[in-house]
Amino acid sequence: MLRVENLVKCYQNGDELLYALNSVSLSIEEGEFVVILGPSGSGKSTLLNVISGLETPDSGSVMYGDYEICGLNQKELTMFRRDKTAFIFQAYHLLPFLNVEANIKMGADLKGNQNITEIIDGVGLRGLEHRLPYELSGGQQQRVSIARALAKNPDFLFCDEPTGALDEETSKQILTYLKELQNQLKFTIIMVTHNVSIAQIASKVIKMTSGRIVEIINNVHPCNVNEIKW
Amino acid sequence: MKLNKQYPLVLVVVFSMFICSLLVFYLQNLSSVKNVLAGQNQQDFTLILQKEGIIEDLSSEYSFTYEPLTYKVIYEENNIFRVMKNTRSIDIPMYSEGVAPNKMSEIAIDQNFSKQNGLTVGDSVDIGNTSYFISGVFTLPDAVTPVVADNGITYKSTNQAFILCSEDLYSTWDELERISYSGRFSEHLSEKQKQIFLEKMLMNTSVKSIVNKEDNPQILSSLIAKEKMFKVCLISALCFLILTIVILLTTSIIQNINETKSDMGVFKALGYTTVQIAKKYLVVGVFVLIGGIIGYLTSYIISPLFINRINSTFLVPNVLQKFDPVQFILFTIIPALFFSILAFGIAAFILRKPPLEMIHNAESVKLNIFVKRRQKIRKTIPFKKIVFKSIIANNILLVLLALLTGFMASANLQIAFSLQAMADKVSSLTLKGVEYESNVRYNEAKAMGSLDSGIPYYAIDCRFEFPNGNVLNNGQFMTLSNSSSLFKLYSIQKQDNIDISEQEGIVVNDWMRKKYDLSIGDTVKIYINNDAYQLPIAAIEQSVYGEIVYSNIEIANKYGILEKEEYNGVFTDDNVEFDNKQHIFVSKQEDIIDSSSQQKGTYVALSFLFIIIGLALSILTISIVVKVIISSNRKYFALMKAFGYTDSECNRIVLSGFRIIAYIGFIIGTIYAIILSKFLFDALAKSSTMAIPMTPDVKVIVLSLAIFAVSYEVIMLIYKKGFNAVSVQEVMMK
Repeated sequence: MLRVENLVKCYQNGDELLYALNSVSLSIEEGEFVVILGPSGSGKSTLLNVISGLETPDSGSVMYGDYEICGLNQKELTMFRRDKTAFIFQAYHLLPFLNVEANIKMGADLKGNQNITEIIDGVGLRGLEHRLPYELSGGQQQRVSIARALAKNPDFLFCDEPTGALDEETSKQILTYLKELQNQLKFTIIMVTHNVSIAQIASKVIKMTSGRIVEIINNVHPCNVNEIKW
Repeated sequence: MKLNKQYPLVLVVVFSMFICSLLVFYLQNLSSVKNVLAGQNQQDFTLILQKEGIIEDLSSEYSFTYEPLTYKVIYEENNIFRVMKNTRSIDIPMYSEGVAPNKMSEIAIDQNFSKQNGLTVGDSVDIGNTSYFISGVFTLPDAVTPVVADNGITYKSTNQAFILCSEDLYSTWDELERISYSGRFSEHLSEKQKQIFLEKMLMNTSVKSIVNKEDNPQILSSLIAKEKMFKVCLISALCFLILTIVILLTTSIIQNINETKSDMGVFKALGYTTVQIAKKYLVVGVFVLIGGIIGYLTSYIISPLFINRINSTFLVPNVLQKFDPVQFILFTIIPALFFSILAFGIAAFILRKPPLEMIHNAESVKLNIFVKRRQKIRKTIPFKKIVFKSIIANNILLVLLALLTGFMASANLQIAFSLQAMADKVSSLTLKGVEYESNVRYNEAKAMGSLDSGIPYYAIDCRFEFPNGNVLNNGQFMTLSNSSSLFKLYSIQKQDNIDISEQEGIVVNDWMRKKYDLSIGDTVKIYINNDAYQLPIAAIEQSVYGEIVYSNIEIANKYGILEKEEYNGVFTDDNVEFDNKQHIFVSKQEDIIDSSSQQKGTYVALSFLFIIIGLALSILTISIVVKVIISSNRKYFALMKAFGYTDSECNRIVLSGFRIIAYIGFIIGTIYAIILSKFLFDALAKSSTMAIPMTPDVKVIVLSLAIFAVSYEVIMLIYKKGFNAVSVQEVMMK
């Protein structure tokens, strides 16, 4: 279980102090599909960064079970990310000089995962293993990104606008893959998006505005990806 | 072209600076001194006769004019003067101050003595009990490597001087007059005829020695040897500097295009042509120009630092560095233009692709044939290895630079240390080869009775004819009465003492072996007083002495030499007066040390130059290589960190790879240094009577490796911080 309590993160903007996160508290059960919704500047990406251990908060706590990550140093945070988390980014961030297979190995090697064939098959990249990222479409690149993340068997998958750069059809494909894989592997997905439609497939929706959580919706019957209207 | 991130361009400036300053330094100092002297020295050869009275006959037979170069050496308690008449028409003195002396109260002194003692025109110098006014200060074109004393005392400009005076004053000194001739062939003779005549005179038994000015150690040969050494070093350095600049420029341009390719694609889409976009890369020529101009100016600063050291053992005219517009254009503007055009060409070639491809495939410019060949990666290769290989494959130019850093450091450091070791070797071999006595004298056999003779020997001037047809007129044959003579001979083959008493023939030195193509078993014909003796070579020794061969008594008896001759010398520790008689050249230990330390000046200056070029540029280059690697892959390292790769893992992936490459460069540099050092040593051996064995020195290699390793690791340590500072948030920011 992930518990976040009273998270505060400020940024100095000239003389003004901006609260990116202002006393944010929430809890997420293992295996949930959580969507963090909010307009630009609402603090959703900052929240994702802090709870994933990419950034440290000014105050508050982030507990993974009984494990508090807020007091960890950089090395400990790195080891935490190595063991527990994986990321999917809007801009894919694949290593352009490595082919599909090698990019997936980036995640796999961290957990000593030698068998990446299944993952390649799972995300529908069979036959494209030896292509370089620039030789793939946007959707294919994002699938590589998903495969790379899943190859490290994460407990928590953090997704920052994973479909933000894709068209509707491709986005739905990506989300379908994610949902299917989550069902198989039982990891937790925490996804930041501004697309309200995606919230329909989540089991929990956290709405944010101006660094605060304004609403948490527990979705008892999340929709199937194909059912949502874009 | 954005300049703020183009670190390699800083290197381009520095490298251009070095190239220009080295070239200008060479041309305006070393080379021009040699040219000035070659122009001033009007003689074709220096001639010494076995007996006087035949010079007229030789002159008419071989069509040359001549001038007797007479001199007397005055030994005083503190000073030694070589006095000469000021009536010279072939080897004309060059006066840097004042005029030639023409009164009984006037003399002219050489420039080195003047400098060392702060003497100038109008001052006075005491010779004997008389004071003489200095009318002028000169340099002599036939005493470029000065020898003042004729008893083997090493030249010191502090208390030894060349003196020019009027004929009347010259005749007032009673010292023994020695004579040689400066000869100049008729102008109508061709170079080939001159060479033939020289060879014919060399075969003439009346001629003791004849040396043309290029081979004469007192005229040009030493200067030419040093100039040749510098030239070899310079060419070697320039090749790598220029190669490095080309790599740096190409790297900078490719990196810049990588970063801005998408923008440039947009420009092309808007209608800008490839030429218009590539034109901005012409600016790199400015960096070469800046480097060149700084280098040109720097040569004025470095010249006094180096030239004084390099010329410390010479008596040469001052050649003032002057602004030479042709050199300026040649070393600054022309290279700048060349590199501008090169940069433009490279940019135009890379940017020739269609605009859409440039916009959409902004990353693809990094990819090259190496990557495509490596696409089928076996699954067993760990990710870190794959990344390392990809970084290497995508940065071939940076890899070459890293290779060059190891190479530059290794080659230059080792050559620098080898040059110093060479000077030390000369000194130590001399000290090893000869046990020194402060008063070793050569005396007539008849005079030996008055001395407490220790070890008698027989030594005489002779002429050698070698199996390859070469002739050496002014050689010396020496028979030692036993093997424990003051001369200790070291075997070049066995690297051990040669027991002269066990040799079944003569012992020659390594310098003669090389110069006359000799080997053990060859027979040398030795002419002593018109009698010819044929003796086999039994051993080759390592000696700094050039023209002496040795044998034991039995061999000298066996081949009939001692049947007609008697022992005529002795090594003694008696403090006898110098008697102006012919004697064996034996230097004092302190003189050898003095001489070595003077010689060292040149090597120290050269080696300092090498250390700067090698180490400084190597450090600078590797810094920039790592900086470029980090900056161009920053995003990817941030991503890897976000996924859980530690700082040290990221460090290892990149820096360890380049470490291996740099050390491979070091190994290649070591091989190169050994070959070049051998070449330099051989060049030195050919132009002097020294034969210094060039063997790879493990100490030098280890020392160079240690210096390189420490420098490299310090740089890596500094850059580790930069590496660790790559933030994982950079990924999210993007």
